[in-house]
Amino acid sequence: MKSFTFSFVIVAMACAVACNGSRPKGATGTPNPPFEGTPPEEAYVYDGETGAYGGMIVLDLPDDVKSFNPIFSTDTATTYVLWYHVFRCLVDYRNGEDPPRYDAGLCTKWEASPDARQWTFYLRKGVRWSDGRPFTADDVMFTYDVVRDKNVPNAIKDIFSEGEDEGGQALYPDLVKVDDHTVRFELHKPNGGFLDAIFNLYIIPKHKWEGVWRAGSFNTEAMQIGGDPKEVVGLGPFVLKEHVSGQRVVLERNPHFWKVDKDGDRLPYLDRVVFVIAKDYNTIQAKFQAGEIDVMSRVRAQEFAQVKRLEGSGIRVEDLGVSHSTEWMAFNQNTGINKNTGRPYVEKWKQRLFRDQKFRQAVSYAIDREGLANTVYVGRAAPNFSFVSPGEKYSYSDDVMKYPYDPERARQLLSEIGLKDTDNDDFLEDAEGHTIEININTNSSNSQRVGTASFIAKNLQDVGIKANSAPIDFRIVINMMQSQYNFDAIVLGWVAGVPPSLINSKNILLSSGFNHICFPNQPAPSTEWEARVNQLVQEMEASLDPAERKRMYDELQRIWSEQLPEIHLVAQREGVAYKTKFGNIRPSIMIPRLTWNVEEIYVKQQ
Amino acid sequence: MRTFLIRRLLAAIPLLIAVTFITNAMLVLSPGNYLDTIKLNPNISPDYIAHLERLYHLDSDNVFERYWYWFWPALRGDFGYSFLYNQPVWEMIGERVANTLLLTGSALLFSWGLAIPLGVMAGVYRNRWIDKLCSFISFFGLSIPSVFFSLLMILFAAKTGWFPVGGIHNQAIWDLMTPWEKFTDSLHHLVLPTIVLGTIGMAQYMRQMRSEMIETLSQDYIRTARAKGLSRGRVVFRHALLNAINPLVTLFGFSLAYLLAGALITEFVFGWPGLGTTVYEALRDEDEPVVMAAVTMLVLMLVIGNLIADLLLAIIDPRIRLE
Repeated sequence: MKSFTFSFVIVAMACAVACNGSRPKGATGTPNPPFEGTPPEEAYVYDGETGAYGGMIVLDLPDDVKSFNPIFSTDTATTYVLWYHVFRCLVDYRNGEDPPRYDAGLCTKWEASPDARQWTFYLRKGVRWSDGRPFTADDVMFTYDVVRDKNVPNAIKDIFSEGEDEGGQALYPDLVKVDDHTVRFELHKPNGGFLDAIFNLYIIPKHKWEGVWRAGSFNTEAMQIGGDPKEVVGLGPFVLKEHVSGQRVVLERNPHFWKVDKDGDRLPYLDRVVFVIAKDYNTIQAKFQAGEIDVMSRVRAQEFAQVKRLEGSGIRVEDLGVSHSTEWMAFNQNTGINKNTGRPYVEKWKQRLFRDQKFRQAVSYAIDREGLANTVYVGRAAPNFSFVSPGEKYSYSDDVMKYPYDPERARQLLSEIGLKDTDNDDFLEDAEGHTIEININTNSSNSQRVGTASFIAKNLQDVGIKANSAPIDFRIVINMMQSQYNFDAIVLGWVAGVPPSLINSKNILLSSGFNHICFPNQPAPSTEWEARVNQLVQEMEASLDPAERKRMYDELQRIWSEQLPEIHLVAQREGVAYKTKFGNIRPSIMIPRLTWNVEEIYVKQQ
Repeated sequence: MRTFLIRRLLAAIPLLIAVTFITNAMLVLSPGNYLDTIKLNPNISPDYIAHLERLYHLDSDNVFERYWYWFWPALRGDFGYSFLYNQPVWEMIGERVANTLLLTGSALLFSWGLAIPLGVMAGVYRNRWIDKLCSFISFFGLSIPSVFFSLLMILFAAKTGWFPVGGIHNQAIWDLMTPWEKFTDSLHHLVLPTIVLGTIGMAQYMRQMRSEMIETLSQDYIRTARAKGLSRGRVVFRHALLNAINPLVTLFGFSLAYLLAGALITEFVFGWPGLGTTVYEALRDEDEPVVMAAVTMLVLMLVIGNLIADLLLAIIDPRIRLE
């Protein structure tokens, strides 16, 4: 036993040296695996910097993938792997350009009718799936049929939804096949932002899945985790080679990819893309430091200064500026009655308070956003007063009502609505003698939110509101917010979609939306401003004119900031780190921050 | 012997039912369920959520009803599909079990392989420098918290580059490696987590071995053996060791239980894709079928571990008869 153990340890130690000499990860000059066939007659020509073939990029993946079916993928890890890398939509999106823009991808061009009700897409001719079969309009028709199938529950269908017809049937745009390489979406109501919907429709191959779908087993048999990776046929620059649960996802070159560079060489340059699953940010940082992974796709605020010190010697750490995500606090303005208990969700006196615009404005004045950004976010956040993050510079409106830190103003507003400290306990009471005491809930798993909630609680105590910070499990927060409606105030944040669009915000903005946190699922708007917001959302949707849309969005942001259904707090700064041996990496604030143009990335020859 | 085995295995059945029932009840009674996380996604409609709720039987809060939904198919070997991965639970867990067994097995080997020889030496050379060194090692091993030890090791790996920073394989090129490279790569990744997981046990067993050895060496029959003229080595290994090791075999069964529990933390810090990490994540996401299957597996492993310990004892100690 003894000698066995020691030899075991010695062998292991010996490996420490042996294993360090791994295979070359750099450019080899020849594509391996090689390309197959010829590029399509209407190949997409990429006119930027050309690179060399070979090598790989090793990325961090903070969670395991849940599916390889793009129709069902909703969580960040799965979409990170599948979108851009393995599957493609009719249009591409260039995250890292300024301004970011839609680009001709699988279609050479698209057209919208002047009334924004007919959208025509001209498909690129000669494009092949990763298994070599031709890509045609039938694939688009098939994908759209699957998405609309009521037996295939998926989130994309809701993005295309146009409400219900008279018979109560769900209404979706019709899709017409004009010819083998042209499709037209015919909408029931105008939608100027229809490309945002199209950018969620990741095309899947008809020849592969039609049989499974017709047999009714699409949900359980198509592109499942644990299935044969070769079955996952896509149109992206890479195809799935291997997935080991909890460990890694390996992609390799799609030999039929449909882009070429300006010299006529086919893309992608890299041979493979490896996602290493590492669920802890400290581990990701250690792995990056040790050279096991090539990028940190997110450098959090608290670690930024530390990671920044790694810069030099082949590593670049970049500050991407303010993210599109927002952090806010919302008061419960629900006037409904809990059917189970027969009592209102919010006590009458609190309801009166929370529904009072002046109260919410007083709270907003009482919050020291600069202090919050400097302490909880260690200086890596910017105060924000708008529904839209200032990082979204093409949509953000600076003409919103701002609430600089002013506790005096807050106290004055509170006394204007009749709150006074009648029993000299330093806390305010209303006319009926209730001490103004509120709980601020947030999800305990997020340390920054916990810090924010207690920071705000302190701010509010300073102006006489007895606020308690109450971090609880994320599930309970969601339950309170979406079904129990039994909270006072909640601190949470919204993560913006890519690209950030009205589609992702509708459930928040509309008074009928289930994420209209202050008072969700209203049958009819309970206030005038909510009615106006509903109207603005509808008009924005119908408009094709960017200037007009922007004007309406500005007005919406103005209303939101005056009425404060959500009191916006800060927007975080984001960072990334990557090795400089890669060419064409152009970081973007939008996910995937470093690999949105993965087919163009290459390893520089030493 | 056979009746003993059968009796022990039969006794495991009510244990399994009790443990799984309690686990299930706690999952049902704890607030929220798997679907709460996806409710926040603005793109997912309440209709879809309701559909999933019915599909997964999450619409009922009755503990017995929910247990039945799990128990009845499980009885026939169907442990269901993971909510999160939409994949048969066994398919998911099988490899994780193997990984955990690899790590606990190597930690077991490490801790016992070092504890017994070192304990014997410390006992035989009592109060000499080797005894003092062993004492130092065991106090170090007993007092260092395993989370801290793991992080220290990770830091060591990141700073020196001698060992990989967590994980089980070199993920970037594993699929391109030859079998021999795969073998050495696996060992390379095993070293640090094995040391962390094995150290606490090693320290304990070494202390135990040392005191048992000292006790045995002071017995009359040892003096007799020496008086008869047997060599010192023969007395220590043939007469003393076999008697002294008896109580340690009982510990062996517990050590498996202890290792499986300790593996959770080590696996998590080292990013080892084992059962511990799976249970943790499944609990976090309330992926009920996975939690249930993993708990069943853990209980089974414990039962089997204890059984092995009993059998070993019977083999080593002729006084024990398993009836």
